[in-house]
Amino acid sequence: MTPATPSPTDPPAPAQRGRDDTRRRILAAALELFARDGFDDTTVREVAARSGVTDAAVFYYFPSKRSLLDALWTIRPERNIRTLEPGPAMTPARLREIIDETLDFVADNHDLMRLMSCEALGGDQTARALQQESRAVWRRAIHAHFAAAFDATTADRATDILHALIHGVTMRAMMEHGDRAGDIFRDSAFREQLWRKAVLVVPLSGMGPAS
Amino acid sequence: MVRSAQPNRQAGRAESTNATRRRILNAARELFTQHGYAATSIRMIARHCGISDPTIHYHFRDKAEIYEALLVTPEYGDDPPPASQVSREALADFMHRRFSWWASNTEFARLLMREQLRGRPGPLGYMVESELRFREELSSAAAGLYGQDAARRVADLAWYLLAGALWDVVMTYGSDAPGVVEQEYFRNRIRTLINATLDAGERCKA
Repeated sequence: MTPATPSPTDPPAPAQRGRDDTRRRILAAALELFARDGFDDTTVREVAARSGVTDAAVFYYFPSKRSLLDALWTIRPERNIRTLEPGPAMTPARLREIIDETLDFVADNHDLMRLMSCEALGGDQTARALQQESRAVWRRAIHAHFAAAFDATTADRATDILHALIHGVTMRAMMEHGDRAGDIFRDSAFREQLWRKAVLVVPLSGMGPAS
Repeated sequence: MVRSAQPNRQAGRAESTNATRRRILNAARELFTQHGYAATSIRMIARHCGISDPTIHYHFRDKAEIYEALLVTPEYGDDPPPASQVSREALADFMHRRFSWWASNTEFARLLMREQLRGRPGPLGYMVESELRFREELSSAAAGLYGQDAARRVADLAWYLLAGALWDVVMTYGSDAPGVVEQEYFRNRIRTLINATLDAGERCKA
């Protein structure tokens, strides 16, 4: 036993904690500015000013602007679509729960998603891979819900329909509302509208599968 | 008739002017897509299409004017079916044709999306305009089949579903998107989305 080596469960030493805080603050500012103004149009100086530290402090943690972006790409959203258990019936209420879960996630991560989308569209391979991964996780979760209620073909179609609808509605809002999109995604009237669209196109239990 | 068969100098010059313009616009579209609007310069565009800087300035006052020229409502080259003789098939066909135009211009869509996500007013206005046009064309055609209220819902659903599918494929596959939209599974997916909107129209019909 070497008591000098802290175990992973020990609280960090105060100095270490201070460093982590500064690093986190810089990353939060970078995410906010990159998402709002674009990576190319943001300077390290602006990130420093926004996080209330000196340029030198930013460079101490991140040797280049690019390394800030790389660090952002290591952030993993806490959860994708949380813990709803797939059930045998796809009722309108269940569809509403799925929409709420999805929009909670989008609202919590909209800055990162917006930045990731922009950079993926600009050809950043890491951003593209991350975006594909989160898309696949979401689609698998949704598919499990539909597969529990319907036959395989209907479940495939339902997944495609709900995915296209939610993607269309959320991207549109992200484009129109920019950094205020998080509030829109939390707004219950916005969710209600999305749900009303969804019940018209997504197959529901007891109503027969959509053709 | 004899006259039109003869080569016309004026027309020849106009054609080459148009060809130059098109070359500049194509190069600009590619570079804007790749680097974004701000990071693209007239000089880069000139080098990319092998045309001199002054020639570009002869055709376009500045970079903004090149960009605006890219944001004109597309010539789809067809009309929606008339409401008086519309059928489910005709509506589905109309939606397919509109989607296909965008599917064959996914690189342009990629450029627009990037700028729209950054909240640039020009590209955002362009989206709102194309959206309105799509909604109007589709809902007035569909009104003949489902009535006005249901037709508006069909157009609303169709816009979100098709835009969502296009944005998804462009974002997920980037420059590989043109190949993906040709795949049979992707065409089937679009068919599913279109059918879902038409089924909704039938259910909502008063």
